[in-house]
Amino acid sequence: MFYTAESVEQLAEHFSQLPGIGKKTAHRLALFVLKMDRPSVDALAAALIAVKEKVRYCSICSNITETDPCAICSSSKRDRTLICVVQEPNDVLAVEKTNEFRGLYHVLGGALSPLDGIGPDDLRIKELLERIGAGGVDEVILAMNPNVEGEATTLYVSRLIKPLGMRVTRIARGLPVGSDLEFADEATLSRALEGRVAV
Amino acid sequence: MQLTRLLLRQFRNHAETALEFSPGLNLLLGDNGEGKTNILEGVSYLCLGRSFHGASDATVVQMGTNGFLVRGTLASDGGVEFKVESVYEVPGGTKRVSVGGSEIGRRTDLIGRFPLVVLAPEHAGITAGGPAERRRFLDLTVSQASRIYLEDLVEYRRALRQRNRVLLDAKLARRTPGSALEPWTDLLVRTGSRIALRRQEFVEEFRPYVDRAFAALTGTREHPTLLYASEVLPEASMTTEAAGEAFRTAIGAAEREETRAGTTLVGPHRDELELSINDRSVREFASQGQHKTFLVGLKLAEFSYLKDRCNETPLLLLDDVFSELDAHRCRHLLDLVAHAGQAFVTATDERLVPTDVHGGAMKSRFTIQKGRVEHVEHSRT
Ligand SMILES: [Zn+2]
Repeated sequence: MFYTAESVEQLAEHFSQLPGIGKKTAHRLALFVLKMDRPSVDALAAALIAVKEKVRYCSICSNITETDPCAICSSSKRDRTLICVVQEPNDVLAVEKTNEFRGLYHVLGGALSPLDGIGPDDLRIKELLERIGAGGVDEVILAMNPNVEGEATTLYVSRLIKPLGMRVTRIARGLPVGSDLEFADEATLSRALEGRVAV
Repeated sequence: MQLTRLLLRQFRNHAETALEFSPGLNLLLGDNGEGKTNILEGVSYLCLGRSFHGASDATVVQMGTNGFLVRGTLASDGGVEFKVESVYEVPGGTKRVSVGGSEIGRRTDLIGRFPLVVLAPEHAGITAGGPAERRRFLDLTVSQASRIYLEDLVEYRRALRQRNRVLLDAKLARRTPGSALEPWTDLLVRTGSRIALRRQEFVEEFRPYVDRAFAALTGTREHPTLLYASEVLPEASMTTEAAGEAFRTAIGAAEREETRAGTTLVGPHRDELELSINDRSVREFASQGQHKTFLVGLKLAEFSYLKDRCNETPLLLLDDVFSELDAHRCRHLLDLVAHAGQAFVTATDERLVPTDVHGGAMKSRFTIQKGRVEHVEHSRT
């Protein structure tokens, strides 16, 4: 390790902070960047900064967006009586890919997990209740990950929404247990949306 | 089920050990610490995806190496062969388990496919120790027989840890847990009442198996009783809904106490499997001999129960049990094995193992020294 240049080490160190990247892979990535031509490296650096500068969270649904409100929230073609609640921006992408859902989203920003220090106040639950409280929503679909934490979040949120009088459903538990929504294939997710049940 | 071949690489003190087993009795001989029990542990990795001692993957890796591999060829009673492989890598701490070349996502997908019954010295706690030891026995047996039970158990344990954290946080902050506790209570009640009911049902199903095993071991002199005692099930035959109600009521009544304790005080994780002989509690009144009879009886019953439930003869691992048992009980155990399946038996001294059992199955004898097989002998009894 001591035979390599310090800048390469530093870059590898940064890569290794990324999810799913071990020390070895981080090193390989750093050396790959070294071999890239200058314009490509400039473009990569610019893209990294652009993500931070341009992307923000939608003030309505909390999805990531470059325009606020996001394209989905500001679209006239979406069904505004329907809100699909998900954990992460990636989940919006997964549901959108099914082409089955024409409503709006609400991104909670995670799931309840006291062991990770995540309680109700750390999720955008209050914002969801405000949205619903403003009126015009007929159905809320809870589409959390099919694991213990997702399940607890479904139970917690549905307890809060039900008294407000609209239909509360959840996607059917046809998803393989333990898998993330993000990794569910489109057909499975379509069926799960189709077969949603009242909570 | 039969294990025909086993390969251990960088596993405990085995740098590279390859074994071919007999369909009947496989004797693993050697002094303590030479590596015979490690072979049983390897078998447990194939069937349960982990050590039966509960040792972590990292501690099983041979010192100074970067991971281990356990590979085995298992043949079902119907003659279908499966290559099972468990590979653990120290960097990253990842373990991959595959059956027939395709990777298994979670350990729970493995359990029950290749049923296993283990009797080791630490199991003395099942009759003599605290309730946790008996719950572990219950859970491992039922998990191998029922996939749904195993899923519920995994979910329950996770929800329990989460709920305990909410209670502990509340305790440390000197406040009530409030609504943050509710979803975890809901989950606990939902899976917990199913678990308690399934355990109760299991004890009913299991009783005749225990009776038969006892009759074989003791004649008609001693009558074993198993009783599942659960706060979640205050009445005899309850529906899932009624059990859920009872659980919710009990846990609701305990909330203040739970907040003070900072942990969950009600649920199947605190239940008890009461064992008695002739209506006297084994734990309190049984003699040394009765403890051993009960333990062997439970394991024989587990063997037959899993054989019926899984439609597959379990593998039997007997770790150093013959120095503890008298010749009579030894013979019963081995008789069963010789007639019904394949067993892996460790002993420091071959004279402790009565090998004159009937059955005529192939028998193999391995001498293990310093993590190597020094001597192999195959014969027909
Ligand atoms: Zn939006």
